[in-house]
Amino acid sequence: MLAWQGWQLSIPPTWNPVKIEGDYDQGTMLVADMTTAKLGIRWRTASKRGKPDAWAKQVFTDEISSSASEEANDVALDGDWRVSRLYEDPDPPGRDLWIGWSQASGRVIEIVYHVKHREPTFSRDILPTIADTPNDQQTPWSVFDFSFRTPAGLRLQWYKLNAGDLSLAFSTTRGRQRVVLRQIGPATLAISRQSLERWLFTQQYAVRKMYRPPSTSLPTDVIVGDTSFTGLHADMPRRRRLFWAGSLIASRQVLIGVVDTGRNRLLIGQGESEAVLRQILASVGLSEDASVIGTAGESEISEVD
Amino acid sequence: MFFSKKKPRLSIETALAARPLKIVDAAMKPLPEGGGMLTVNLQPRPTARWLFRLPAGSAKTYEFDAIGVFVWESIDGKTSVEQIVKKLASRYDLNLREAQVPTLSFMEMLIKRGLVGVPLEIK
Repeated sequence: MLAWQGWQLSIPPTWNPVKIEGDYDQGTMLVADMTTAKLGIRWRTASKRGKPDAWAKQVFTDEISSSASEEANDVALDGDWRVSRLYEDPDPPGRDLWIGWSQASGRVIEIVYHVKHREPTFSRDILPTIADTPNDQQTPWSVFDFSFRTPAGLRLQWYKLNAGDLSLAFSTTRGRQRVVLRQIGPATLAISRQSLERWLFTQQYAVRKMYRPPSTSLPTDVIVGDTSFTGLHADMPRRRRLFWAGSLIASRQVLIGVVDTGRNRLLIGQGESEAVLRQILASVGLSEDASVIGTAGESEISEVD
Repeated sequence: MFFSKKKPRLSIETALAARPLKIVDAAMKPLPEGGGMLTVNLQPRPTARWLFRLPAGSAKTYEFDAIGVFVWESIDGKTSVEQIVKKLASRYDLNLREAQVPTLSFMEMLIKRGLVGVPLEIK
């Protein structure tokens, strides 16, 4: 499962994103297997005064040819789609193009599938799984083997997707609530290099100018997915010299670190609200089950102010 | 600059299909933490022998972590890079992309250090 910026798509396990750009409003993503590009995804916020048919015709003309618009067929998908149209190249190798206009978030999306020979992978297996989540709802995220759900109102600010070390940072629109999630794997190798407490120390090093390092880390039970693990919890108070920034900078940061022995991953969460951190950590790994995706609203992750 | 031959750039398919083999005669000494140490005897190039004389028994030691040892042990001249990547992903429960990128970088480093060679077909 691939879930990014509100979009969800079920892709074969050997496919992975190799290039990601943009944000919630507009962006691109290239998905490839070990040797070749498979999917090109592009999205942007649609104009409120835009006309769906004219937009669809323009996209097909720009991407394929002027006749592609007539050759494309409407595709019925789950969800609220103002436009859902698929063009299949009649003479592969070539490119299949699907375009969609989502009513849920008001965004448009184009997916190009590089097809070598005519086969139903794209239309039968991938397209029916596409879904869109507006930003004011609990949002699933799933990239490589790191999946979780964030509360409504949190937007992705930055990310570092290095092999074995994935970090994603979120904040509310006004920046008052910040959350950083980090997954390191394999955990057995990570712990053999340095202890979990040391990993927490390196995590807080990034904010050392504003927050004092924790004096000690206390053991705490952390629920990851469906399982409870014993992790570490640390509090970082704001440095005194910044007392004048009381309304701008949170008074404390919370660090939670845990080793998910089931998935052999080390998870670190950093943020102002311990409750939000724990709720997000509790959802880690749940999105890997495709049946869980799209059940937004069932679990009670509170909306962040 | 004008007379140097440009080395052919390998495609990703060729890189993954290559079957690397060890070109140094050295044994990996295991370390307690799961890594390993590889000691390679230094042999200067013929032209350099006129300028530098290395002491007898000069050697260079490379330290590998557990994953590096796993990749090193998988290099046998018969296993392709793609097979090594898949074995690594399976062994450490990694995503294929997470296994592929560092493995290819690691292979490139081993080749640059002269520890591993890749036979290429001459067309």
